Amino acid sequence: MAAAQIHEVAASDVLGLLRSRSGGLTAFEVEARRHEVGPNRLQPPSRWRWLRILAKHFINFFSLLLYLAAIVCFVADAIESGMGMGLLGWALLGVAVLNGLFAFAQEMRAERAMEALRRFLPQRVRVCREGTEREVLADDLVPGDVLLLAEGDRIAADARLVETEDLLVNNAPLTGESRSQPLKTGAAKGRLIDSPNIAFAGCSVLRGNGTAVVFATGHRTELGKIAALSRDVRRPLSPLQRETNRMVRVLTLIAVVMGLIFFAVGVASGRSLWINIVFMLGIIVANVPEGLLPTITLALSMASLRMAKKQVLVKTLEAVESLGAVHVICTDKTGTLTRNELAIAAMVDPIQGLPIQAPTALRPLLKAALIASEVRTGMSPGDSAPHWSGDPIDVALAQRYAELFGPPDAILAETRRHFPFDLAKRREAGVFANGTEVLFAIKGAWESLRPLIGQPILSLIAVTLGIGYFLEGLVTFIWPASTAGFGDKHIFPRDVIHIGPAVVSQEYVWVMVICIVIFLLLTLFFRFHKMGIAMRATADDQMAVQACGIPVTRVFSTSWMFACVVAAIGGVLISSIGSISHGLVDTGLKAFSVVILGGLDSFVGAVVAGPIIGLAESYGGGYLTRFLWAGVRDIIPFLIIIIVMVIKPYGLFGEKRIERI
Amino acid sequence: MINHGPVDVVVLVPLSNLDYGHYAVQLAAGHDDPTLTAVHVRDGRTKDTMLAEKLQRMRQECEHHGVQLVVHLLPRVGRSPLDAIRSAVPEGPEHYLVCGTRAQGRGRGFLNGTTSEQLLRSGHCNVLAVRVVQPGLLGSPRRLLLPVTERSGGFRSGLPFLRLFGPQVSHLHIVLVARVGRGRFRVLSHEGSERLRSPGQAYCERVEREIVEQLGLGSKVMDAQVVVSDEIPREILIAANKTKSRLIYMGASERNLPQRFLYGSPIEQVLRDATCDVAIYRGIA
Repeated sequence: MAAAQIHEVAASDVLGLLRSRSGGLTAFEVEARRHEVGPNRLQPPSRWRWLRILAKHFINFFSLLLYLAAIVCFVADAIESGMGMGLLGWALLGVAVLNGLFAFAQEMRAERAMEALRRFLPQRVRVCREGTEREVLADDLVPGDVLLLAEGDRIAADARLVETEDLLVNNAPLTGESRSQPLKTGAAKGRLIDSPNIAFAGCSVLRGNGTAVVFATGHRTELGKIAALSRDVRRPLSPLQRETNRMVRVLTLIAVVMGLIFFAVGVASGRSLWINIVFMLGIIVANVPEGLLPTITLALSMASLRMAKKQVLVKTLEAVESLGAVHVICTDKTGTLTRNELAIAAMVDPIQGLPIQAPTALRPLLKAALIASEVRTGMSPGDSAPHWSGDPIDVALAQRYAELFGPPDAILAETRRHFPFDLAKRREAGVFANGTEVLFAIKGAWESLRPLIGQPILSLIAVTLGIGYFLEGLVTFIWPASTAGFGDKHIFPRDVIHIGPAVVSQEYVWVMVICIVIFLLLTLFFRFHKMGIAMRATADDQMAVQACGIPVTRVFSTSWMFACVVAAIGGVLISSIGSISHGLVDTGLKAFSVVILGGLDSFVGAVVAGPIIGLAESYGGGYLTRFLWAGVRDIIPFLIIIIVMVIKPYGLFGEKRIERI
Repeated sequence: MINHGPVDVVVLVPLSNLDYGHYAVQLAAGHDDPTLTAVHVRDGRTKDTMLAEKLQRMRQECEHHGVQLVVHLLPRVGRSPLDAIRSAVPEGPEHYLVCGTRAQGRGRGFLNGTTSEQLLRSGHCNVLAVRVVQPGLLGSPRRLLLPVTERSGGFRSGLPFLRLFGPQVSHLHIVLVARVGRGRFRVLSHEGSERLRSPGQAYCERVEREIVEQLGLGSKVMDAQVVVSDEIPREILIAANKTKSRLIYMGASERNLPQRFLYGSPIEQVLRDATCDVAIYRGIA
């Protein structure tokens, strides 16, 4: 006969296997079993646990520093009162106590999870013992007890049903499944937790009644296991906590070293020992960031308040930090909608943003991905297909390869070395060598791979400058004369108009009007058109844009096209005022200084910086030429670039960026 | 010397209500012409009626599973029942002895100072000491957690009993806890943790290979994880809960007395806090 668990045996065998009988256990048996398994309740935490937690938060390194600082302040106040040191001492003590109390309250909240689980268990239950039905404390239940269930009851222990009458239970406290489950007595296959003939502790009877034999009580029940997991599982420090602790350690080390140096200097200079000690402690205390923890707590509290206004309830302050790092939250209940497995739906070219379908392209790509993966294969008896194990993404790759090109065993066998996934670099790699071919493949987040391929931005700049010089040379070759004019055919009328005391040529006004129109059109384009938004996004974060599937090469081409059109219009406008010459190229470099001064990413900055550069060039040229040389005005824009780069690298209106490294 | 059947599984008659006898029956039942030998050393404290009832239930269960039960009630030899058991159970790797732990620790521990502990240390034959936490399993856990430690001999010691469990195993979770000091653990970086995991992973793979080769279990039923921690028993308990294991199958401690005094006994902590059954083995390879 095959091995069977309690849910797999026939109802008629249950009583015998659990050493019980239909009339229930005797008082002697109950007592003996309770002596062995203990009372039917979830193990409460130790009575003194709260004291240990309190002590942990009040006697840690940082708190001790604060106490020491307070003591130094009190001593200083006693030596020389009236300096406000006493008040500072009390403040430090207050900070230490508040910190401790706050952390204690946080940890006790987590501890209360057990209390919440205990509330799922009832106070009293009906059982059959020594042939009679009676009501007993739920704590007194033991394995083998015959439990009587009726509508509205909460189930006190895990029990195998032996009789049911239209029994319907709510297993939501245990499984999270909102649908009620009908229970029956017949033997069932599969996992115990899914079995329809088991009444689980913590669940409730919605309808009908039944008789069940208890087989697990207290922490042995499925509910007890959840409670044990919530008690035992480690709660690691959040990244912010780790960094804060590290910073405190480093600062404290620096403070202590400084204190010792000053102490040594004091001793060497002949000051009294007492003064030196007080001075040393003062240095240490002054350098320890006492306000750090309250500041962090306050910041997190304010963040949680702001999130509350956006309908997000933050129960644990540390969660604010985690939520702050989240872009998208995808939630699902595994087992209902998903199977904790991944499958490849499509493979997309990250540059073009188009799906890859040709087998000639797919095969090497999947092969490279497999080389950089770590999957293992195995064939179990009775299986028609091999079983893959490993990271779900790696398994999905192997399955996809197997579907399209057959088993990838050769690739896996010839992968000589695997570099596991590096959390910091966000990629993993592998080396493949089969005697004729050696491949090194890397797989990971696109942001981490992009810098490894393609052209760096410097090469683009170099190419741009190179094309510029080439065109300039070509123009010189075709039109050797250095300048040319429009003759009598002007683009704009040259009549003058009077604006107050100023006399302005109409062509200047026309140029200004056309510039304003172009400026407005470009502003609208960048703000509202899909391509304009894509161009701004690409300028902001090229890799993120690629990750979103935007074809960056097309964005680049369009940007170049726009740049050429705007530059051509600018060239026509400038030459309409003066003449066409080879020196027009230099105007572009002056425009570069305008962009730098205004801010690389600011349209308004360019509008404001243009007149500034123009005026600086005119006035600077006008005044400085007397004292210096004739061409000094031409270097003024570049002097401004240098000054701006030193004082305000992001320009007048550029967005300041702080990059995490 | 007792004459044993073709499959030589011996069980010390369980007197507790949390009956490890189910395990003995299940281990014996997985073979052709199965026989289970039940041994009881008379100590004068167990009532004959109670013993008879226990044996009667065991006989019924054996009949249910088609196992032939042979009962031997032995007189006590000397101060400890150990001598009587050793004289009754043949020595050697082909013999399997199933025994239990204390039902309640109550300050003494579950295994510490028991006959089962003496049997585990004796190396007389393959010994399995079982603490039943889930009577509903009826000795059929199917989902096993194997906590392993890096030993030059590999998992050889655990193979004999695992071979008997083999037919019913559906999942085998191997866990290796790489222990680091508490101070180091608190500041251990992800990279540092990965470095510590690598050799453990290799050892786990070796154990997996050993199990596949020796027992023919498919790799589908197995998985392995290496955990870096400062508390071995706690990580074993967490792993058991997370993997929903029904039996923690762990080796008897190789620590000597001074080591146990210094580092404590992880086995006792696992036995005390586990929410599933625990089996402590010592196999003779």
